[in-house]
Amino acid sequence: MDLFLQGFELLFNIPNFLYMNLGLLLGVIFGAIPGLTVILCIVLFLPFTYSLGAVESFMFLLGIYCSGSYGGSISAILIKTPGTPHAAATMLDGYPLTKKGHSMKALAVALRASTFGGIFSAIVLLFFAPQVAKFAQMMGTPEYFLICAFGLTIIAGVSGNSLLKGIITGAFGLFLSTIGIDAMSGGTRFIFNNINLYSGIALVISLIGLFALSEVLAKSEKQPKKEKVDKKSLENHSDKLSKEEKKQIRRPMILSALIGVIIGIIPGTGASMASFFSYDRSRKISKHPEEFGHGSIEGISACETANNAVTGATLIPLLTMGIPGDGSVAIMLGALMINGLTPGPNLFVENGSIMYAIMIGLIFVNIFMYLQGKFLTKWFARIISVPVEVLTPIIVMFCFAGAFSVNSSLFDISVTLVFAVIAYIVTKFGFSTIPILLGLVLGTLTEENFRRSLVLSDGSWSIFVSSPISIVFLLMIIITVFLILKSQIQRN
Amino acid sequence: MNRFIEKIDNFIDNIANKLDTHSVKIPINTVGSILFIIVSTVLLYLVPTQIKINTTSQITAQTFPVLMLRIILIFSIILLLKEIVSIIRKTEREYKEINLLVEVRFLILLSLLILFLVMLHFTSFILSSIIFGVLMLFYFRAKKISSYLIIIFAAILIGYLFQNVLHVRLP
Repeated sequence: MDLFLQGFELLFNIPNFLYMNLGLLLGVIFGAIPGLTVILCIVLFLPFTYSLGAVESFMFLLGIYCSGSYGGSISAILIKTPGTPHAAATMLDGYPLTKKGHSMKALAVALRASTFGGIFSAIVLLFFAPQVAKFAQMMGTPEYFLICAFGLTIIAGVSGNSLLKGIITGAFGLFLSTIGIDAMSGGTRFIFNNINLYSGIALVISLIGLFALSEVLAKSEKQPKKEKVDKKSLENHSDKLSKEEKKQIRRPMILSALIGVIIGIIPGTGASMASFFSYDRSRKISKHPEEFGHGSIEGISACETANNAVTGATLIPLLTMGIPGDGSVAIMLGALMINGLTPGPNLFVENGSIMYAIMIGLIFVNIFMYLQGKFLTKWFARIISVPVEVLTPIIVMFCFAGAFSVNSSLFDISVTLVFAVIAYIVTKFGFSTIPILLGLVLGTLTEENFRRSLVLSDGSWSIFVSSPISIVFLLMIIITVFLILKSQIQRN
Repeated sequence: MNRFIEKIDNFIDNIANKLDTHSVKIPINTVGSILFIIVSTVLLYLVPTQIKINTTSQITAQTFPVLMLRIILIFSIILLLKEIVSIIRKTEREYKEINLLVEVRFLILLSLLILFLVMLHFTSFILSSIIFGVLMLFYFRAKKISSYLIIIFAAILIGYLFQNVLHVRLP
C-alpha cells in the first residue's frame, strides 16, 4: 500500500502529465498517417527522453504507444488504409460505415472502445504485475537466462513466417550486442581497432537504423495511392452514438477486453492477433452477425477494445521479468535501461514506487487519450492527408540529429546507415527485424546470466535443468517451438 | 520554365518505365541462408583476432558470441537444406521479385542519405538538412512551393530544438 501511495505521489506532477499528453498527440499522428508507425515514433523521440526522469520518459512513451493504437484506426476508418497493422480488422467495418456517411460515429466507437480496452488492461496490470513480480523474485541466474531465451524464442517464432529465420536474426541481434568492451573480462570484442566501437553500439543508434531509416529506404518500393478523406462527413455533428447503440457495443467490448488482456500477457502474440480473434468471437455472439463486414459498430468496438487491451497486458511480462511482448515495448525496455533501471525480477524491489507510478499513469494515459480524441479527432483526421514527400526528409533530419545526440559523433550516424541497409536487405529476403531488436535489447542481460550460470556450475549445462522453475521454462520453450512449428506446417 | 520541367519529367518517366520492365525472381530462402552462412563463417574465422583471451577458463568472452555465430550458421544450413529438399521434391519455394526500378530508387535514396552524412562533416546541421530536404523533394518530384518552405522551416526548427532545448551541440 505504501508503494501504491508513493507511486501516486511520484506521478502527480505537471511535467508527467505534459509529457503524457505530448506523447498521446504524437502517437495519434504517427498511428494515423499510413507509412508512419508507432515504433518509428518511439524510436524518433527516444533521444528526447534522455534528459527526462524515468516516470516522465515512460509517460511520454506510453502516451505514444497507447494512442498510436487508436490513431491507426482513424486512417483505417476514413481512407481504408490501416495506420497500424492491428487496425486492419477495424477497417473491415469502419470503412463501410464511412461509405454510409457515418465516419464520425465509427470514430466515436473506436475511441470509446480503445479507451475502455486501455483502462481495463491498465487495471489488470496494476493488480497482476506485483503478484507476478513476487513469483519472479524466486528466480536465479539460470532461470533468468531461460526467461530471456523464452522471450527470444516466442518473438523469433511469431515475427515473420519462419521460426528458422526468426532464430537466425535473433541470434544475429544477440551477437551484435556483444560488440565493444566485455564487462566481465574487460577485453574488446569485434571493434576492428575502431575507438568509436569501444562502448559498443548504443541501442538508440541501432533502433534508428533498423526501424526509422529503413522505412525511408523502403520508400523506394512502389507506394499505393492514398484515398482522400471525405471532409464533409467529418462535419456531421449529429452523427452521434444513440443509447441503444452504446448498449449494443457493451458486450463485445467486455469480451474483447478479456481476450486482449489474455493475448497481451503472452509475449510475442501482439495486438493484431487480439483484434482479429476478438472480431471473430464477437461476430459469433452477436445478435446481428450479418452486419459484420458491412459497417457493424460491434465489429469496430471488438477490434479496438482488444488492440488497446493488449497495451497494459504486454507490460506485465516487461515490468516483472524484463520480457517485452512486442517491438514497441522492447524499445521501452531500452528506455528503462537508459534511465538506469535494470529490467527483471528486482525492478519491483528496487524501484517499486516508480513501477506503481508507471502503472497508475497508464490509467491516466487512457483517460487523456479519450479527451484528446473527443476534442481533436476532426483535426487528427486531416493529418492523414500530409504528403509522404514532406514527411520523409523531416524523419531523416530527426534520425540524424537523434543518432548524433547519443555520443556527439558523426560515426554513429554512419552506424545507423549500416543498420538501415541491413534491415533493408534482410527484409527483402523475408527475415523480420524484430528478433534483431530483441536480441540487441536482451543481449547483455542474456549473456551475463548465461555466463554467470556456467561459471557457477564449472561449465556444466546441467545447471539449466537443476531447479523446478528452470525445468518449467525449458518445457515452455519446447512447447512454444512445437506449437510454432505445428502452426507453420499447417499454414504451409 | 514549366515546359522545361515537363521535359525533365517525361525524360525521367521514360527511364523509369524502361527500368520497370526489368525484374528477376529470386528464391529468398536460398539467397538469405547463403548470405547468413557467409557472414557467420567469416565472423567465426575472425573471432580469435577480434576477441583475445588470456585465460584457461572454459567460459570466456568468446563463449557467447561464438555460440550465437554457430547458431546462425547451423540454422542457416538447415534453411538451405530445406531449400535443397524442396528443389529435389519439386515443391513450392518462396520467391521475391527484384525490380530494377525499385533497386535504383533504393540506391538513389541511400546515396542521398550518404550525401547528407558527408555534408555534415563540412557544413552546419541546418544547412545540410536544408540541402538534403530540397534534394529529397526533387527525388519525390514535389512541385508545390509550400513543400519546400515547410522543409526549410522544419530543418531550422529541428536544429533549434536539438541545440537549444535538448542542448545537443549539432555539427
